[in-house]
Amino acid sequence: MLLSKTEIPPGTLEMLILKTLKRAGPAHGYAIAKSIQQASDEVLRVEEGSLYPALQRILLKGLVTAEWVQAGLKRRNRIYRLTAEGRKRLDTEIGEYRRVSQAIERVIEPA
Amino acid sequence: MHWLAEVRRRLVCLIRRDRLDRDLEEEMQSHLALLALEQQESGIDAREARRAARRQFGNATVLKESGRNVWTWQPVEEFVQDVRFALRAMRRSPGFTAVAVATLALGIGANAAIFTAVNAFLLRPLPFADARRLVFVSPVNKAKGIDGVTSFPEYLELKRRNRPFDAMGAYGTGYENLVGVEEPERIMFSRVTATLLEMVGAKPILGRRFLPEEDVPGGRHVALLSEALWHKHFGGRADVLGKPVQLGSTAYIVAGVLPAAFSLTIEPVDVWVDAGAENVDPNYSFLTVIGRMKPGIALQQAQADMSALNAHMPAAKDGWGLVLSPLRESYAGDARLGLAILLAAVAMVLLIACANLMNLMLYRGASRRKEMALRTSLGAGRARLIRQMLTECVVLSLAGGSAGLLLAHWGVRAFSAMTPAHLQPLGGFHIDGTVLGFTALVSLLAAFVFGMAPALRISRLDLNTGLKESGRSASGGCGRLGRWMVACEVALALVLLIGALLLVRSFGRVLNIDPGFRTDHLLSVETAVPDAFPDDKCVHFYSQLVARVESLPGVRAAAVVDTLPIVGVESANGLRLDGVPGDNHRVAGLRVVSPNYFSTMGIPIRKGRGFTADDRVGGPSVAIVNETMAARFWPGQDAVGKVIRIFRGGTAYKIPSVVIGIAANTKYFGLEGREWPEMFVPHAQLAYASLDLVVRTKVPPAATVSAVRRVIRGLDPEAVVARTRTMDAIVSDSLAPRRFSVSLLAAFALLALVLAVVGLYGVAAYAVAERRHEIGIRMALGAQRGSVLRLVLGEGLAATLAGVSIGVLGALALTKLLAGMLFGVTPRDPVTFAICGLLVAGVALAANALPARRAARIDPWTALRHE
Repeated sequence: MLLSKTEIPPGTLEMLILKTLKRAGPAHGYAIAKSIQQASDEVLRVEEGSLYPALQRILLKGLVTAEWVQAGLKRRNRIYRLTAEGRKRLDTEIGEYRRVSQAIERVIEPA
Repeated sequence: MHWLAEVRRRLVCLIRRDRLDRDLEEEMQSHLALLALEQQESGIDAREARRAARRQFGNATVLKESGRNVWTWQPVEEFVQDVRFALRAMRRSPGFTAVAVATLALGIGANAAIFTAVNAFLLRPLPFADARRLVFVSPVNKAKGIDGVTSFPEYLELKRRNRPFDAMGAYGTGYENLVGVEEPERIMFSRVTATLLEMVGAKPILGRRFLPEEDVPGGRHVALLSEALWHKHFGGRADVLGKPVQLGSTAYIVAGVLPAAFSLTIEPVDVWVDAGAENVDPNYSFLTVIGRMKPGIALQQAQADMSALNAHMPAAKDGWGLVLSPLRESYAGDARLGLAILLAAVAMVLLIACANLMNLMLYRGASRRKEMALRTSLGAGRARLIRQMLTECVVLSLAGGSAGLLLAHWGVRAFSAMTPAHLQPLGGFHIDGTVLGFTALVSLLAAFVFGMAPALRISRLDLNTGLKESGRSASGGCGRLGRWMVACEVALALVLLIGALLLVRSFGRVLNIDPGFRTDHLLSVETAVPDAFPDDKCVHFYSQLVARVESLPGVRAAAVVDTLPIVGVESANGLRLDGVPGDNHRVAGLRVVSPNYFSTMGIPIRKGRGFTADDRVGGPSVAIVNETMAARFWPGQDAVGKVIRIFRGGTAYKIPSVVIGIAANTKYFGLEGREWPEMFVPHAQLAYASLDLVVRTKVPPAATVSAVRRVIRGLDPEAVVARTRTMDAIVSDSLAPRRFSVSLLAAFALLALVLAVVGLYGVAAYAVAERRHEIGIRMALGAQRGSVLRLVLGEGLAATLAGVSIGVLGALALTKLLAGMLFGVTPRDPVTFAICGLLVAGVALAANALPARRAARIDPWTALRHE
């Protein structure tokens, strides 16, 4: 069976990123993607194409801040950090998501 | 709230765009590196790892763009881009840009200029507080000929009985000698009630307004100076308060100074005095009453209220009515029709200009197909292309509009200088915010008008043919649209020309109106003697003056009169008719004249006799009436021999005067003015202290001015000489508004014709250029030059004929709107229509003929070779 890439809806992706930052603390883009991948037992693979726009969006909304941190002689990483606003938003998003998925569950439950 | 912070972040990012890009770039690079490292760990070599990483990463460009797009407002970005493209396109074709901007500048500039006038006259709020609630309250009595002015007791009566108004005031203007200063002069003064100054919100720059307790009969004589007079005669010093100022024989105490910006009348007033403290004579009607309607009351309601009130008053039986009219109309009413016509004219000129530009853009569009095709293939949708081209049009239009504003500014300055003072709007002509807004709006609309069709057409393309080398446009449809445009242009130009010619001919007719006297070689010198002169000294002075001036070389005759014809100052003198039962009170214009007035002016006496030197103090009191007065007051009877009692200050109606003659009518309110009953009294029997000296000269009148001045000074150094004018100048001034609108309309009509002809020529020339190939083939196959000519001309002819027909039909429908301004010419005057129609047809045909001739001279060889 071909392991097709599972698409993560963009809204959910933002939630996952925020949760990752909360759980694992500040991290850069690559680390966030890897973390999501591992935490989901390799089911969810974050496409770079969706990761970066998502990061920009939560940066724009003020849910995270980003700063450059030196990592080694020639490289620096952009570290994302959750803000208070982001924390609040995360709780809201998770609550919302749970509500919706429970509703979906009820619908598809075998009669 | 969050939204606000987000906007702020976006703005910050817009400014630091480069940093955003670099950050993204760097971040993605390091992500790539980490990916490559990961690949390496699974055993692949470095280069392969990097390639795999990049493959996994995806399209970096797209990523960067989508990352950037999160931050920027897409529409704003695109708009800025479009503007940049537009500017670049403009730079690349300077010829087209120059033509387009120039055309737009002319069209939009003309609109801006006329709108400035419309704004000044009709739209701008009057410079009074609550101006919209202010109305003129005019008593009218058609039978007596009174229209608009009241006496002070009548004003008080109105004020007492008013219901729809919460305030009422009145003012009246006149001329008086300012004496007791270094240079006595004749000034315009105004009697005004304290309530009026309060109502209109006059704010003195020094001192105070009138107090209500001063503004009653017997109250103190108080005056307010104008800023200009204050500076001229009192040095602009603050100590002028409390000082006396002497007007004629009355001394007033200065209580304040009103700013230069304040004025109730179009001609500037120099001194305001309180109306109530004197001149409460019920027979002296000089006040114009203004009322302020209570908030929320509409004009009709107020009018109904006042008419009802009036019906209960005893005077209503005598035919008195009350008419309310909004202040604004009275200041601008006459100009309304003329301005509306001019506005319509410039709108048409702009439409023609836009049509030309539309054609131009359609033809240019052919050469832009490749560019459009390229853009489409790179991903631009049709909407995007249309937006881009519309943006170009808007940029062109705004550039043209700005240049047009400059033209308008000069134009407005020019016609402000040409307009005589009494015709200016209250506040003068200015390009203010409203005009700027209008210009911007018109520019945008114009852009859409001339840009939409080309944008739609050019963006609709077949990619394949567009990108190929030989982009030969078929554009049969393009040509058809162009020809229809041109037909419309011709129609519009024709309508304008017909309107202009009708007005020109009306003007010519007006110039030919007989004013009732001879206007050539006539000099007018306004003079006045000190008020202190007793009557006989006054009479002596003026008879001496006339005799001495008549003996000057170059002078044929001289006389004096208190008001010249043509000038038409509204004034009504009361009189009573002896032997007429019932209400024998009438009103007519009073003229105080020297005996030789009629002969000097060339006014024939129709019946009876003129005045002689025998008609003087001590002799029987006499009067001469004009034809209108004779016909109106004694219909069907002979006026000669009738007795009238003219109201004279001091003796009221006591003195009976016998009518000894009937004089021919002279035009009083301008050449086109209505008829007005006039009565003439010899100066010897009614000694006015300020009279106009009229001098009929053999030489150009202006040459005699200094000699006349010397005579006056020689007779009495205290005599005042005010304005000197020639009658020709007075008549010319009275014609100024008509002349002005006619010249402007003619100018616009010619401009429209020029634009239309240029458009015609362009379409025809382009059609020929397009069809060179086809013509070459035809000629190679044996077609004669004549038939080629006919082919090309035929199309142009069809467009011209269509245009002329539409234009004639349109003019037939529209010219009746001009009827108010026409004189002696009907709106559907066939001669005018014929002249204009033939002119336009001829010019249009000529414009077609040139390219046609070139077509006929095409050499088939070269035409066939140049694909």
